Amino acid sequence: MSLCTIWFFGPQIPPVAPEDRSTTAMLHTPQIVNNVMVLRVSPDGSFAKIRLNSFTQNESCVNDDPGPPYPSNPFRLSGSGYPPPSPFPFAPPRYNLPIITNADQGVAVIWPQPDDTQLMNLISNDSVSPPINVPSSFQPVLQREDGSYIGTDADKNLLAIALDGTSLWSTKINPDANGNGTPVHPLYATADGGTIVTSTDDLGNGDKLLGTLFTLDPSGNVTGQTQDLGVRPSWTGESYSPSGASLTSVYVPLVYIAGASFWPQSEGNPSGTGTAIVQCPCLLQTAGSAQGFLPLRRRPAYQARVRNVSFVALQSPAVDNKKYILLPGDPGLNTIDAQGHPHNHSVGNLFNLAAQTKARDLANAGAVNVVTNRVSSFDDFSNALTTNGLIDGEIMYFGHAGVDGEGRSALFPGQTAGIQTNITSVNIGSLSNAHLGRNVTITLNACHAGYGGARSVANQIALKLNRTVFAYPVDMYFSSDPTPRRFNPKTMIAPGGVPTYMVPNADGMQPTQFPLK
Amino acid sequence: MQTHSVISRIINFGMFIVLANSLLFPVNSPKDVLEHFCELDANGAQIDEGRRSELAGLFTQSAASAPEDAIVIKDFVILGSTKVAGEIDFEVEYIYLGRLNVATARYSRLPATYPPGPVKVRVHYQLVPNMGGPKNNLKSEGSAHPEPAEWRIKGTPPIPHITVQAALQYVTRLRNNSSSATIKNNGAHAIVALNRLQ
Repeated sequence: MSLCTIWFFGPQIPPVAPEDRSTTAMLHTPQIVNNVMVLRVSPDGSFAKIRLNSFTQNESCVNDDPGPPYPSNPFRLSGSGYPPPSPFPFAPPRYNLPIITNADQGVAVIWPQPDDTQLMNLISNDSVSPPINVPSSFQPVLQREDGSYIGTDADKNLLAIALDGTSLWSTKINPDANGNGTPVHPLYATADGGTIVTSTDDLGNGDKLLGTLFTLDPSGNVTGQTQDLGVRPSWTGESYSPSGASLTSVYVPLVYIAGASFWPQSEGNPSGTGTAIVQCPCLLQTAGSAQGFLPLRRRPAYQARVRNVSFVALQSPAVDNKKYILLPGDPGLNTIDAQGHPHNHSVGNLFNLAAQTKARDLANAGAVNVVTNRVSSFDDFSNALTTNGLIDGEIMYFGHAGVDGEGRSALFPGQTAGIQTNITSVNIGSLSNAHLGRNVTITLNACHAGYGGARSVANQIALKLNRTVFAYPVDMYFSSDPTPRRFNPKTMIAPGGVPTYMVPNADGMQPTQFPLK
Repeated sequence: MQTHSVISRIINFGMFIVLANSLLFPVNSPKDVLEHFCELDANGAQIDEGRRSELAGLFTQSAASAPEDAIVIKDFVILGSTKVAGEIDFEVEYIYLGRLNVATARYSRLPATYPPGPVKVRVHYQLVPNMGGPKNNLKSEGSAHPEPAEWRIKGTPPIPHITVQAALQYVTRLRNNSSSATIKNNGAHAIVALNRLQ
């Protein structure tokens, strides 16, 4: 123990005479050792304290600046403590170190150092890897299937960092004239290796200032943006928005989350509980492992896939590079009339599920280029044919259809009023085949889309686009069995997940090919 | 900056007044008018001579004559609206099941231009402001507003769209009150067919 004089360097209010700007204190703890530990607690209650590093900080009174009015024995710190030196050297560490899962291998701890650099340690089976340098202030939020982390830094950069610390890419989203990026928060690592981030601002009191959703490709290039409605997908793929004390189901385009990642979305899983879980275990299954899982299997981010791909009975299909377009329409509306009677015209999530099933089947057959576009109007349908590059696979519509008030055969992709909500002979003339390959086919999974022969909406689309269209002249229903048969309302219940097929309501019916010869 | 703040407060206060007024004095929106018509229609107001007056003032033009046929529907949903040059466009989505001849109580499948029911049919309605014409019968219950805003459906009433329940009631009444063997026979068959749809 030694006696130190602590000098108040800052301005004093009220003013204090220079000779009074000091106090004397006893130095009780000449050395402080900070151990930075990670606590591992297992489900059975066992635990381990895993040391990442130790920092030693020495305190002394050194007479190295004796001139008046400085004290003769000022308080001095030497060495480095942890957390980095603060005005209160005796305060306990205040850092919540960023820890994120590392697939099923353990965790990664990414933590700032006293010298403003940042290190990552990988912890597996209570063992700590050598420190790995990562960019300063990088905060991981997502882990992709190839193991790399997606996160942000203090300079509003969005970054992808490999497990060896290499910066794969760094980008600023929607920068202003001064080069300042829009602050974003990563939401999802997607199955194609891309990322979806949002500029929605969490106001901290449960309220959010809704912003924009940005879609990035595997290399960090922004490929699309849309308004963030504040909805998040549930475990089963439906999306909900808070509505007072309850939730309202909202239909938004499907997000194909990286199903083989253990942390593909912020907060880990759809419940936001911070629990790491692989959402599509089948993606990691292999017949070569006793438990059906490879110990550590990562996929290159560039391998495009869709979620829920089953490898059962998949005999190494040839890669199919054709582009397929899936077009689920609006579900329809449910209303309650003045007498309180419900009128249910909505099919809920079934169109989405049917599209999802088709995407899965295509992926199982080797397709790597499947695009899903939600369509709510004629314009959406038309744009889907012209803004997706060359389409050389199939186009499949999953939606409502019927007849309009003038007796015209129609597709009903939207659920609002207005002539542009529907696709009929009034607007089919505006469709373009400029981006359709010669052999592309269009399948209309919609009730009665092929009814009426030459007058049917299927025939008119086929004639206008000069491509083959398949459609049914009967109504359709949803089933987990794709076999065409008569609908029995007593025994056939709509599926609640994948697979969901739209099936014609007739025994053995095959689709009609248009244009009619 | 201070001036801007004052103006902003005035605007906000003004918006509050507008909002408060709309809450205190509800008016009959175009959708209210259309919904009222669809409810009346679904319950058989167009095919019931004694109730046809309930439709008075809902359309810009009166029906030229009593309807010959009615479409039997499962139900209907009013889709969202769009505004075009002062008119409000709606689409009502019906599920058509069959056709009922109002005079003879004969129930049959839909005309050949339609697929066999049930089929989804969207009918377009235009709502226009009523410029000084007689008031319609629609009142805003509980409203302190003395004269509800007036909207009308453009044109004449369309073919009646009646629910299965309304069709059953109508056919039963017609059959019971008629001395015609044809109507009684048609009515009996229609009741069987309509009951299957319930």
